[in-house]
Amino acid sequence: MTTSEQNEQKIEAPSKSALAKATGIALLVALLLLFTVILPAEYGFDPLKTGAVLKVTGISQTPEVKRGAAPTPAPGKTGVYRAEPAIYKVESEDFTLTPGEGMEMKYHMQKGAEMVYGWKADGKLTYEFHGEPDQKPNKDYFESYDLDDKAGKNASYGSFTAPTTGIHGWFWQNKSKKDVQFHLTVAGFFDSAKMIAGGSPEEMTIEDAK
Amino acid sequence: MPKRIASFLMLLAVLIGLVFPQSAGAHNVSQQDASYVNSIKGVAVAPFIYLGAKHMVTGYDHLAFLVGVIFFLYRLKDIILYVSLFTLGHSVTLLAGVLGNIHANSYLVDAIIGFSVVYKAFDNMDGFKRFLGFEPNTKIAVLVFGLFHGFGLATKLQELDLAKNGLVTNIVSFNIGVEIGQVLALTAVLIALSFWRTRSGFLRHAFATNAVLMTVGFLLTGYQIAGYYLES
Repeated sequence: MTTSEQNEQKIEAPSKSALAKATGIALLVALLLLFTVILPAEYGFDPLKTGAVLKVTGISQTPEVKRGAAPTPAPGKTGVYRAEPAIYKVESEDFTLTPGEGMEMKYHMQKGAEMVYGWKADGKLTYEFHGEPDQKPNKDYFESYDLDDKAGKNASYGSFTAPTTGIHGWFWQNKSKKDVQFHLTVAGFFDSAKMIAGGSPEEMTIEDAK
Repeated sequence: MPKRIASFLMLLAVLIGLVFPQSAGAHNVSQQDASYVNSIKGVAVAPFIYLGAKHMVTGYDHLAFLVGVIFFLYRLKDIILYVSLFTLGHSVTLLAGVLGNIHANSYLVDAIIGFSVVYKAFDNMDGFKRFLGFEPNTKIAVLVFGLFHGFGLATKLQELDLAKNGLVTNIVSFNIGVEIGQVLALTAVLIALSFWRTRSGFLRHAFATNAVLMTVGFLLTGYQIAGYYLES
């Protein structure tokens, strides 16, 4: 179909002013929505503070694990004490990811078991900290605790209490163009650990802390 | 007039509703998919076909552009011609991008893809004819934007950790998946459009519809440009 044929089927060509108006409105509506809703929601960028008013700021962003309010200590006590089984392990290791490469480290933990971790890289890594309960409703079920799959981070530190008995850990990926080295330290109460890097899972032997 | 504005806003709301609720996951191949692909070594035809089709069906920017392209195409022959040009364009750059290891910035490529929606909507509104006195060749435009869309697909595929082993077969599978997804999505769009065309309101609302399409294009462009400055 030639263009002239196409145009015969349209009613009439719009005037220049109608066109300019429509284009202007389209651009304005787009800018308005971007700055009031979409940028706050998608990137946490909220110059007009409208995202905060609408409570959309950061909706689609990394759910920084909400710092649960610390458990209120019983009157007269200043902290929380919990006994753990004698399987205290410490893992401290270096890894290198080539551009595009990803890997996982997973720890099998009982419900309520705790770990303290830190990892630090010489470049940005995108990651997800997630877990799969042993008893899961379907094969692909998992719970995400912390996610940064866009910009990535150089480091992350925290403590974690397993919400379910199962495997919990990280998926990291190097989306940059050069090798990224990172060091991971995990200390806590886990029965076993495995590494998944480009193939089948590999059991890691981690000694109990001396 | 207020009624027209109201229907414009409603249509816009529906379109944005379709576009953004899942935007965090929809555009990037999701983490679980990435994790899965990481574990693949060697030829895996079906998984890559599936991922390609999934990317296309959930890739609203590609879909918005295709809606613009076929908006005024009535004959099957023309639809096939234009869609083939688009396919040719994005296949070339998808293959070249991944095999040649060309890393384009995905925010910038996606911004251009968003702009392609604006361009096509403006074209459908006869904007070029009014302001330039002629309409730039629509076939060449579709081919050129097809090339950019292919770069977009390539950057998505490069986010996955692709094993060298079976790479070509896997990319070709992904591309075949993209075409399957495109045919599926186009069929749905065509059914909707054909139904609408039987109504007398189609031509009257064509201008407003393309203005809405253009708004979505501006939104996608702005979203990606902002991402380029804020995230990378």
